[in-house]
Amino acid sequence: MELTLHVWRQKNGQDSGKMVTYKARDVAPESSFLEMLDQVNEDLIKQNDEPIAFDHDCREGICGSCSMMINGKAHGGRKGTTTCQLHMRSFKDGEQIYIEPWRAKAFPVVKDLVVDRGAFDRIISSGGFVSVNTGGVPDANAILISKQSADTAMDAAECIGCGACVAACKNASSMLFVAAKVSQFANLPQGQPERMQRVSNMVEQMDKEGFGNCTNYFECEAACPKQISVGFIANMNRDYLKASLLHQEPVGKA
Amino acid sequence: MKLDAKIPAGPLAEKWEKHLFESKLVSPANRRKFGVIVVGSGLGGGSAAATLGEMGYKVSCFCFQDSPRRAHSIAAQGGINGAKNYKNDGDSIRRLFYDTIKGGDFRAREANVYRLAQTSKSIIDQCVAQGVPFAREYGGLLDNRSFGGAQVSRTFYARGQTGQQLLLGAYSALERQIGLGHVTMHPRTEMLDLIVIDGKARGIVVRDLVSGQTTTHFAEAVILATGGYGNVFYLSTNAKGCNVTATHRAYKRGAGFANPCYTQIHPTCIPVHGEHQSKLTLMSESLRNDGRVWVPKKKGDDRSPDQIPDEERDYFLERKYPSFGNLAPRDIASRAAKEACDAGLGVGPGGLGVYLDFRDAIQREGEDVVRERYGNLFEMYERITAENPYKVPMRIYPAVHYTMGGLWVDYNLMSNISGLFVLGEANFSDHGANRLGASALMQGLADGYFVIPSTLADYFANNKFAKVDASHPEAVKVEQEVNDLTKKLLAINGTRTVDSIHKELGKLMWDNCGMTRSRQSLTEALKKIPEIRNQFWTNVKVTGTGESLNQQLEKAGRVADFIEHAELMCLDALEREESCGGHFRVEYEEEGEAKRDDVNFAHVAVWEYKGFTKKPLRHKEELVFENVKLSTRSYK
Amino acid sequence: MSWIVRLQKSSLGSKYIMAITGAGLFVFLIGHIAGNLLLYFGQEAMNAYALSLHHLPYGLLWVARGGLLVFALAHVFIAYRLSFHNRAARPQRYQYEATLQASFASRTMPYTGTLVLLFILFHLAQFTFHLVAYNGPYTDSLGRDDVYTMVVNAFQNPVYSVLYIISMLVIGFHLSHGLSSMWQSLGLNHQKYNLLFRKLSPLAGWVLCLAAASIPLAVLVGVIK
Repeated sequence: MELTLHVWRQKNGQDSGKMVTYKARDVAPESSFLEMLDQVNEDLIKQNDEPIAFDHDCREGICGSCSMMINGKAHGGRKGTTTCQLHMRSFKDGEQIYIEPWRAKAFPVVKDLVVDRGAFDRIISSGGFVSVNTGGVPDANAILISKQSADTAMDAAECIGCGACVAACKNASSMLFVAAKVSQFANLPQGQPERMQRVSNMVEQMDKEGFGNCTNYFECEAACPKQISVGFIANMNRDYLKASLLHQEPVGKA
Repeated sequence: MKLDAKIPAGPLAEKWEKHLFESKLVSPANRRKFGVIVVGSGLGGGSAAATLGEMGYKVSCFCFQDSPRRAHSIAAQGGINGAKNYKNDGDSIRRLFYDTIKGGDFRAREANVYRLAQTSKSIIDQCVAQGVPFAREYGGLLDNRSFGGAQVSRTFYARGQTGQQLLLGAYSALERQIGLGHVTMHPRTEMLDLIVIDGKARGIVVRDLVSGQTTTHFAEAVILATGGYGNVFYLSTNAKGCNVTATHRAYKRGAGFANPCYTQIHPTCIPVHGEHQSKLTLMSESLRNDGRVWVPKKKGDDRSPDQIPDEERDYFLERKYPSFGNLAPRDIASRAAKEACDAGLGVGPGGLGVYLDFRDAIQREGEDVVRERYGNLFEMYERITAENPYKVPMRIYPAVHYTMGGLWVDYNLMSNISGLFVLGEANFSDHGANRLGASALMQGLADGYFVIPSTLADYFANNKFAKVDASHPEAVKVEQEVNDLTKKLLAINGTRTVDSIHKELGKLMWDNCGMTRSRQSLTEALKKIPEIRNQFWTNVKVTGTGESLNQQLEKAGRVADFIEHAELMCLDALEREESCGGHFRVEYEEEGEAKRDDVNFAHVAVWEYKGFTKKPLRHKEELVFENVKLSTRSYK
Repeated sequence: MSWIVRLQKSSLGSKYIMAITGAGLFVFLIGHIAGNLLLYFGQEAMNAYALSLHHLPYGLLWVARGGLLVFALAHVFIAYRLSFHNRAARPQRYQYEATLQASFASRTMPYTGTLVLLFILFHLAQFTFHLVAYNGPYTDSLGRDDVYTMVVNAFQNPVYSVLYIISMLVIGFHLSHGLSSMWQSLGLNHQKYNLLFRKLSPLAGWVLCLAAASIPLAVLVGVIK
């Protein structure tokens, strides 16, 4: 296969960047999208050009490193598929492909297709955990959890933190990401003691990071490589409403 | 090189408890005076950094990925073992200990493995408390499954994403400590060297991968949890970024490297599709519960598999190992597949594949039952190969998966360099010559959550630390060396890309130091690796500069280390004149099975660095077995 | 009270306000359009209804008007604040834009919302403040305001009736997303009720707006005269 690529090139965070056109030659249909880019990069190096920088690591769809908009769709838009698991047989010979980085104020471009997703870490840091120290915890089976709750929590916990939801959202909102973590713990007994504080803190941090707001496009759900449901956003909305209206500090003394 | 394993005296079952009591402590108020550097943020590093942060130490954690959550522990699928005996099927600490020792082909330390089995129970409790959504039964209790041919159900799992969920548990604990200011996180930062001052590991040199800046960091102890070196083979199930740099450079600063030849080849991976392949994808071992492995009996039989009648198929695992059949352990199943392909019976492009056929399972139990069990794996297979495994048999081939070798550590997980601790896959300690399924996650978390907090305190309490900073002559020297290396890599400006050299090295290692090794193949590799090394240092091309994000430069540094490490692996493989676990020497076999030599090789081989291109020195730590009887693994 | 200020500023708080004010405006719309459908029952019914509305006890009319104004202003204010905020969240747009499943209605809410706002202003100017093409005053034989004749007269001009029909379609379109979106914003997403949230609610919006659109159409074709 031969393809024409239009790739976003940007030297660093300060550079303004532009689209540059490359040819990808001799692409095997069974290659993954990243392997195709590897090939283009090998050619670029041979021509003394700087290869295209992109984030990637496990290449099996679980680490969440890979992040690129392919023809305007996060990870290429195939259902439940990350870029690393997207294969060239999904493209036609001679096709034009536009490759751009995730675009969001909260995800500044580092170089070419690499963006800084540190905002996600800071959101988790603000409350995406159960406050237990190592040791001194009860026996694992001392906490009974219904299969339905455990499965729902797992549905939410599958998030790989890739940022496709933000990239795909017309508002660059990160609500699916935040909601998935909030809902994982909201569905488990371990998450109950901090439930109200957690959702408040995480939403506050999310807002600080400069993500957009949710207008219920549900584009995130379609772009999510782990197919995380927007039902979890409703879950978060419910919890935050409750936390905002009803949660109070300890009653204290009269 | 002094190798004192410091195994506590006393009965096996009491060693750890006794050791805990005898270890010195650091009082909570004093802990903030001690700095700890943790390199790596996977299950070992992440859990250690979080726990040490909770205890009050001043922790700095480094990872080369953009977030600690992306460490490759995330990719483990199957599960984590825990000797809980929740299923009442006769499991116990002792049984998990025995299975692990035997599975490791009697090449691991008894005391370490026993401690691992003991702590396995606390790990499950800890993870549940963190909110890890393990699979549950309808009654609300935890579910277990049997895994990797174990005769008890002791594996806890979270769908096919157990590694992910455990890592996210450790990551969330770590992020909590970062938020509280107890841990300083340095993502996109790669450790490039170790600073040893007055015989103690006191710091590291790192490169900020975004700005290109190298900096030095100091602490009272350095913990390496940097994973394995499977990417020596270029193609493996490891993540692309996995590398040997941290451990190899520590080795070059004097840390002993133990058993580098022990590599695990996983039998059920998706075969290589072509020369541009960058990575191999693992399919869960559980597929072998229902899939039957076969190749055509006739060479060059290019009929489509459904046209080949049963009598013309060779179900070679069932034939060779009638009692275990398709469930034979990883190393054995892998070698059998390789033998079939070497005999020219392989299927698919290049003849490097065997069928894993679900036809009979589908006929027997119906497609729906098979879909229920393996639906997500079948989907993944189809996504990658565009073949529908419900209709045509899967094609699988073995791939490098895990490395049991690593930096030598004593019972306290400290290397022979004082203050340099090594956790998880990066050390050598618990899996001997072969690792059992669902044990890697267990080891990483045991080391990080439960072992290092006590052993580190003991080290701090027993040592005095002079104040050091970036102006220390040793620090200046090491940082200069790192910068010189970067300059050197950028200056070569040859004609070969880093990847092309890495691929060449990988192929050589796979052919000569892979599933089977021989004196001849290893000698040949040892002759060719210096040629590759020479090719690299004279003809590699690294584009760009050192002052910005430069992924080629990162790769080049890692490949330089892989080349040196490959040599060490071959050397170790050559000098270990026996077959055991993941190390199979064709000269040492009995009716096709590995033949161990317990008289001459029941020891850990520990290599001491003697200089670039100089032959390293081989030391031994004898393994003493007081609680198990050495026996031959038989799966016939 | 600082928590209220914080809440309305937060992303989720904004969503709640959009949902609640949107729901309120929709309830008003139901009443307003239901009342106007009395045009089908003739002059007497319509004018009597208008008179009773103007003579609600306890100043309820002004309470309702005041409430309506607050809701409308809040809805509009937060909507624009959100739109600007969302635009700022992606300073650099994609060169190649594509959509996987977001509906056209959902993507055009700020635009349809603006059109609806313009229509409401026009609507008020025409029928409340009598600033547009007003040939009144209209009084019926009983001395009441002749709302019936005013409306029929206005809609007999095809320019206005077509404008109203189009506007009703735009409102329907705006509601088709808004009415399903509000449940989600308030955290109502449930397997058992998603049919109501996602399908029946937008349908209700369309029914209402089509009913409203039928009035100018009916005048235009002479069913109402």
